[in-house]
Amino acid sequence: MTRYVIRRILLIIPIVIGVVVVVFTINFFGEGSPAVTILGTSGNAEKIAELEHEMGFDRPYIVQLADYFWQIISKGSLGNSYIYKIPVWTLMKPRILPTSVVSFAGIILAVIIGIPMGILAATRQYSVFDYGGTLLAILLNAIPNYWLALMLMLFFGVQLRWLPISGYSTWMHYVLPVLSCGLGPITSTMRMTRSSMLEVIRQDYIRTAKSKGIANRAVIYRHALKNALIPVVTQLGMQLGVAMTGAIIVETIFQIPGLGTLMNTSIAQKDYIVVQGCVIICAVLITIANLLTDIAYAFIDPRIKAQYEGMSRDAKDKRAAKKTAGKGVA
Amino acid sequence: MKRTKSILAMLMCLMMVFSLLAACGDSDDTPSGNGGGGSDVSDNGGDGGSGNDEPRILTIGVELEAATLDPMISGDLGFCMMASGVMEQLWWLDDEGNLVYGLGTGYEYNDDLTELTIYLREGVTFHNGNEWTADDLLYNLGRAAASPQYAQRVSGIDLENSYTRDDYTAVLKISSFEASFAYSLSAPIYFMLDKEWCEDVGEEGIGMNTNGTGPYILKEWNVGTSYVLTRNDNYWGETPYYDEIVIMCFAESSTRMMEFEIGTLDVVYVTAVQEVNNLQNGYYEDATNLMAPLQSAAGFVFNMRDRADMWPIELRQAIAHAIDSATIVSAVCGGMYNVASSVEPSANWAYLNTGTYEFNPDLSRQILEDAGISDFSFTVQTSASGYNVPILEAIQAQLADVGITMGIDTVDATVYRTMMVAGETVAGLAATMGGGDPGDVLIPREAGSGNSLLETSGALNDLIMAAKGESDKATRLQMYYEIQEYYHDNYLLIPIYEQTYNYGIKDYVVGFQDAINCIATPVLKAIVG
Repeated sequence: MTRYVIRRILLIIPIVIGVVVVVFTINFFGEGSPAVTILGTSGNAEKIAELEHEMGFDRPYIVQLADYFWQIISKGSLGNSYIYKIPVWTLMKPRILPTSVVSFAGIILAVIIGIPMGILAATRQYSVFDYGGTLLAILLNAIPNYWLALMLMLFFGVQLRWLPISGYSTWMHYVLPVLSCGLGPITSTMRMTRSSMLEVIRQDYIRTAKSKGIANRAVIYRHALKNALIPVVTQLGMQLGVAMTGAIIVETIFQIPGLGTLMNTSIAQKDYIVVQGCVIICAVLITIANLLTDIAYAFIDPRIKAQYEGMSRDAKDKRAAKKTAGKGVA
Repeated sequence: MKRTKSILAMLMCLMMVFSLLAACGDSDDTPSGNGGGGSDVSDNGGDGGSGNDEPRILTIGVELEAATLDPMISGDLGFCMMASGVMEQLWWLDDEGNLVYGLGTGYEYNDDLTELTIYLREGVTFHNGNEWTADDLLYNLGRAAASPQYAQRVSGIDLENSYTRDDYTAVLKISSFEASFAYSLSAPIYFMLDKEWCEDVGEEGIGMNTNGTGPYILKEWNVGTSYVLTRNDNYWGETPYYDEIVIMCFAESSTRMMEFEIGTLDVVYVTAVQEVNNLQNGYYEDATNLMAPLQSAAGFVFNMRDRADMWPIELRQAIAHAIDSATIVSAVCGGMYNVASSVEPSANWAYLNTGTYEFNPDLSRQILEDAGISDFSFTVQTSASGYNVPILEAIQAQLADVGITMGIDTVDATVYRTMMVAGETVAGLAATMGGGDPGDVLIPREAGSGNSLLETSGALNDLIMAAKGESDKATRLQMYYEIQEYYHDNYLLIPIYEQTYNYGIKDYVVGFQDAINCIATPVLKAIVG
């Protein structure tokens, strides 16, 4: 299991390389240049060309790409912003935590609220809980999160004055943004849990467990839930990526300076190097989230855990076999 | 029974949650939306006029926050508002275009206009205690010369051979005389920084912190949310009224207005037409709307640099009479903008009211018929910022009425700028912003400026260069009038709108109303007690 985790962590490197290459290529071949943004109204064609040469934008694609990677490897630097002349990491550092908190907290909320609601709806199918929960889920899913965010601000911040409506200095500042970001995952988690549970509780072994006299609570939580959680956990892992990219709207509305707003501004200004830095961080975070999802599988389903360990064991056996073959039979 | 118990349990949980939230949120002590740095701003409701021992704090809500504190790079409202209290220029302009001296006390040219001597104010210190000297002035001009964006503005100065006569006198060698140069030193890019401090902290440090001479010190910068300024007790000039100023940045207009409504903000920058109407209609208690002039005029222009053949004067004339600027400004921009009537903004001291062109579609059709122009069509490009697209759509409809077909392509702002430089745009909306001197407004119109929609050539360019080089102010003024008349008579720019700043201000706020009416004077500096 440990080897499997280490191998997955090391996989982050080629994933990030791949993502950076794709983003770099898109930026390189896209229209517009940071030199135009820098020079503003004082830029004519000659000055733009001069600045592009000074900043190395007229070099071949492969040279610029190699230079970027070499800068990361040799100096550990993501470079300096073309527009602001500040290190990219300095721009990004204070923004990683707010974005992560809003995104991850939304997913945690989905787990805490969505899964129990899904279980309730499944175990009380066709009841008020089931219909009400499903209707609420569909309704909340249909509402755009920026509208929801504004309504929450208006109600809880302006009308009731219970919660602050902007900033991020205390835990209370995160309540409304997390709710705005989390309601989507809550509803989809609830519906996924419900449909998954419905499928599982109709299985023969569940009927057997009930007929043996096992308490309903034990049947649901000890036998059914674990099998129903696999697709739910998969969905939660995918939703984290959506939550991080969707956080830009929430960050803008609640004035939380996160990676989303930084990336949005940098794209508009053609500050490619900042965009690449943000993409690297997002790729790392999402990859880690997917890794956590896979680890969660191992805890939920022992067969998967055995499979991971089996993979490690197979690799060990192969290495041992190679060594023996190399030494020859005694 | 079991079901009833479950429902009751759920209801009780919900009640507990709401009770907890109610206990944590107190309407008398609404948590303010301040920054992630954890600085808690004290309750500021009514501090604007209290006059007792409580600290006087003014909280201002603006739109954008700069990613860097380097005045050579940042120029948006949030930064300029902060910088106007923390940093200073040599001088700035009043409403009549006269200099108000700051870090400088005067200047003079030698007889053959090859030297500009600038006299500095003595006894001024930066916030770190270093003294303001002529070395700092030369250093800051050198930064401007090294900046790709602003190098053109100091291109007439030979900085290598410029020198300091003493600690408070700098002599600039002039390689190419421009009368507007001394006035242009009032622009925000010439906020003076301490040379020694800049060399110590480097470019990164200049972007992350600041060290000026202004009446306020930057106490805290909560990246992405707010600037906190505290009074500089060693300031050389008039004591500022407020002890502390908090400038909070909200990209989202609704959030900004909600904070204003609940009392977090004393002053708010308003960008939505509906909010201006709400302020004027009394929706916000004890608050009013203040409209301040901005030195920006916009109009419909033609690419006369690369496509002059496409735009004979009859066609320009016909288009001018087909466009109803007043209706466009009223319908599209609501109460946000004014109707423009010249290439120079009306807030500029050299403004001449050349008048808008008469809206007369029949005349327009007649002109086209007489010129033998029929079924004329063209496409304009624009970025989606501001009111560009709705304004162009209104123009499109008005031109269609006289038989001219105009297509609209919306592109990314940088792509649009690239197309303009390359001369690929045939016509469109163009606006200029000035720093007080009419010459600044005309910079993008000079030949070689790179802006194909504004760049001029021939007689007009000669007029502009002559005006910028004229040392006598009265003569310069007449020349600027001549330039504006030339634009009007030749239909080179069809004035559409002038931008304004709109603010919501609580009635108890002291001083801000007067400060914001000073067109070019740094705002925060003007609030004195």
